[in-house]
Amino acid sequence: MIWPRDRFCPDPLAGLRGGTYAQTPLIAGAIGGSDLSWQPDPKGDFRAHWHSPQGRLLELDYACLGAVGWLGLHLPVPPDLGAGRWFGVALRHAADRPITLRLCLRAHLPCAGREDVFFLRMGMVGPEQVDHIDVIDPARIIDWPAQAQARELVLFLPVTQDYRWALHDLRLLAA
Amino acid sequence: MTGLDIALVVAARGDGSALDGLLRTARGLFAQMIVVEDGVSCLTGAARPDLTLRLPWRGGAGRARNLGLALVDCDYVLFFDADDRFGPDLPALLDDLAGRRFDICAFRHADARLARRGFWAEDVGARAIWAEAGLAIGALTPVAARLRPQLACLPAYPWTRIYRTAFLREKRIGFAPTWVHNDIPPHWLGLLHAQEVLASDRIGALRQRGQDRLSDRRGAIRADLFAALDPVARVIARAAAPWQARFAPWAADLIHWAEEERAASGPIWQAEKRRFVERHPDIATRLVA
Repeated sequence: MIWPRDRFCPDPLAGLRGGTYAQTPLIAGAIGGSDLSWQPDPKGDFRAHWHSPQGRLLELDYACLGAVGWLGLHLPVPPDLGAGRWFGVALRHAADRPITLRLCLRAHLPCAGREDVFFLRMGMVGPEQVDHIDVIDPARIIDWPAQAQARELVLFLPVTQDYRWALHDLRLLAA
Repeated sequence: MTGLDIALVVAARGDGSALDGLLRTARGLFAQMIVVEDGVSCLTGAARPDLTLRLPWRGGAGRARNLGLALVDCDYVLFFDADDRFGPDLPALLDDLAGRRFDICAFRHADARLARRGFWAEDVGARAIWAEAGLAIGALTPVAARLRPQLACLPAYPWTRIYRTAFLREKRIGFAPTWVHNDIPPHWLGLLHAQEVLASDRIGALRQRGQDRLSDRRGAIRADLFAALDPVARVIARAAAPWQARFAPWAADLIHWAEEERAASGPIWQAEKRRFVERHPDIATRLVA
């Protein structure tokens, strides 16, 4: 197992890890000068704020007001990661009530399309911090999108309930 | 130094090496470090607090803490036990609190005696209380007044709270002058009288497996419980209904715990218990005969 430090220098989340960001309304776009970005359903009816306490990536307060299609937290990863034997993600998080996240590796294809490969484990979390670790082995994925112009990790957060979610840390692994 | 002007008060009564270890890790976190030795010399000289006092005879941690509080020169104060350790999140918590005005900040702790998934953890009851109050997560969350009686149901450990010094002095809140359970008055009366309460899910304290801990004392000494509970029960009896509704079962559970887990019994215990339940029939009804 290796940490792909050479591919992630400087640390794409360093700004969030080391600094603090005050309460900010959730809108589409980059988060606090990091490579993380929110991509919510532009027609979604919700109210959400995030902030970044010291030593943590972010804390999110989300309230569902009506129909919301999705809320994604995106982190670009090097496109050549798909050439490795496997790709993994490790995150530490907590929520004020039980919620479930889905995680996927999204490939942006040369033909302008995209393909999502979902991690098998769902990120179930409640009031106690949990460490969620999962890997994707491309050799076991049928129709693995080997050719991609860009890849990103996407965390799909729940959209039909109110919750507070704290993302303490997020790391990518590859070999 | 962190951005919070905070003093550390340690009531010590024996283990010098543990106290030295604690003080070494306190450097850079606290603007003032006060050690009050409870009748015996504790410091080995390896670490030097800003102020060291020794009670002329053993008077218990409550008296030692009150003396330490009287000597605090900082805006905020953390009371700690010599045989515990600061949690990994304490520096970040103190930074979070810099520039904030609050009367009490309650934070999480981990207990070496409990393990969950291989890690230290809080006991199940405490975790449930944090979750029930909706305060289980969040680096720093203001606690609404309606949630404070719930928060008061946590164990009364003084080392999981940061107090504003002037708040304790203005409200004349101190520790009970007892050997055990001296932390009940600041815990309940602090939360009752505070205007601004913050909660943090950061782990600011690590409770060690200690020997001769006061919380492990057994037998007749537990009769101190009633001396610590009584003044609080009198105040709570005049407080709003949610406080009374939370305090009565909390106090009854503590009495049960002392009897079941710490072998509290004997004529002194029985006499003190009888006097207490006569004065506080609302708590008496919660006690199983």
